[in-house]
Amino acid sequence: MLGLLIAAGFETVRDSVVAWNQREVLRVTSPDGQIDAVFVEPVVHSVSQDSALYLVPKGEPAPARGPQLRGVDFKEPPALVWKRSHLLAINYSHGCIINFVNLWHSNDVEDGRYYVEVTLNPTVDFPCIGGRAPSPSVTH
Amino acid sequence: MPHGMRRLLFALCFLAGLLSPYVPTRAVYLAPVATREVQRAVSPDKRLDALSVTTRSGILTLRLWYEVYIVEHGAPFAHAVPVFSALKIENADLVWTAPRLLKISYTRARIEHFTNYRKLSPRGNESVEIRLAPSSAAFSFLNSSGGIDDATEP
Repeated sequence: MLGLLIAAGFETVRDSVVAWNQREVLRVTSPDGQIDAVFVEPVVHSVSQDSALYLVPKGEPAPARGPQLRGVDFKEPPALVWKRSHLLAINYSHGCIINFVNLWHSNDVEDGRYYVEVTLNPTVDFPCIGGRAPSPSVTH
Repeated sequence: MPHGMRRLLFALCFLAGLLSPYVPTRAVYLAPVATREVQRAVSPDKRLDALSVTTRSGILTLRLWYEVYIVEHGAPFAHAVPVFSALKIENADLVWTAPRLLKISYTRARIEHFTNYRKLSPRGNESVEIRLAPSSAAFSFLNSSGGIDDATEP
């Protein structure tokens, strides 16, 4: 029981640090007014260098976990374009994507039956390694 | 109960409590898996292979994962980290369009993980860029009304 409490406490502290260290720089509402796409950047880069994209019910703040996209080296926020309701395009020319997930839904919107698909649209062939090479590496 | 036994029991309960939040997410790795290499695409300079693998896993519900790895030419993928993981993928293909640019094309996919770069050695400066190339500029997983057909509910 004590171990469970410590583990839960660790997760809570982690979420608090992430939430404290992220600053909203861009918010774009879907055409049907239900969903906001929110792009956040780190406040203190020595704590974390990751930028992130979250999808949230309209007006909600960005959470601390479950981003659609997490990355580094975005020289400017990507353009978030709702091609139509349920379909969000991320247009960017610089950025290294650490993790991307293309499907979103939340139990807080239409009882979990509202889905959003996200697509990546880099505008150049080498948006990441065109600059310097980032840290994670191939393992053999 | 002897004092030593009580302390051991306490330590075991403490450890079990500490691990309990993580056990359900890790249990999937204990399930039996069947892995099959589907495609191996050699880079234009013949230094690297991009290979796709399907993995059937799950305890209660079987899931067919499609994963892409980048390894040195001829190497196995066993200890590599995937650059792409998806479920319900259709018509997937790997194409090197330049010595350091890999495109992953598909007509349909539910992407659970994708990274657009992979460094080739821990201390080297050489990297590979990876790009997604869905066949449609619109939906690649949802249906045309933005929903999911019942038969493909995630």
